[in-house]
Amino acid sequence: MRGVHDVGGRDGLGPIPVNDEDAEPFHSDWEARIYGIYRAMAAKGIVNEHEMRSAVERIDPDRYLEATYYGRWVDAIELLIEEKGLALGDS
Amino acid sequence: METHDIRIGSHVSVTPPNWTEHSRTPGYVGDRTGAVLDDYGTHPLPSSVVSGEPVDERLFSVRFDARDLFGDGDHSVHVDLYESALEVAHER
Repeated sequence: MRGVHDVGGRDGLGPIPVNDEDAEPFHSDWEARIYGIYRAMAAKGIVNEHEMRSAVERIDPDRYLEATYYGRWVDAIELLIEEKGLALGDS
Repeated sequence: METHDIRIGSHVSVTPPNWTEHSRTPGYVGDRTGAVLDDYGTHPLPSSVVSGEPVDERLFSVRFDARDLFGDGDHSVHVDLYESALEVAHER
C-alpha cells in the first residue's frame, strides 16, 4: 500500500517548476536553521540520511500534507530526537 | 525469488513497496515490468540502515516504458531499485 509521501506518478498536483534561476534555497531563516541542525547531527553521526528520510515518511499523514518541505524536516527531527532519547517531548 | 539471475538486460517485475518500510521503491513501479539497464554493485539497504542492522544488497537501474507506468508517453523512466524488490519476469 502506498503511503501519503509516495506522490510520484500521481496526476492533478500541478506543474513542478524546474530550472528556476531565481529560486532561493530557503524561504525564511528557520528553514536554513533546521537544515543546519540536520547537517550538524549528520556530521556528528547522530542521524543518517536513511533515518532522516524514514522519519519524514513516518510523520502524521495530515501534518505531512499540510506542511512545507522544511516543516516536515522539523517534525522528522523532533521524532528522531525523541526516538533516540536525546531529549524528552513536551507533552 | 530468482534474484541471482538478475543481470543487465534482465526483464524484472517489481514487488510493490510496503509504505511502513523505508524501501525507496516508488509505488508507481509496483507490479510493473522493466529491463535492467545498469548494475551499481552493492549498497546498504535503506530499511536495514533504519533498523540499525545494515545489510548490503545489489542495486540496479531499471528502465520502464512511461506508457507502462502512466498510461501514455513515448519516453522511458529509469528507477534505481534494490534486489529484494525485484523478481525475474517471465518473457512477455
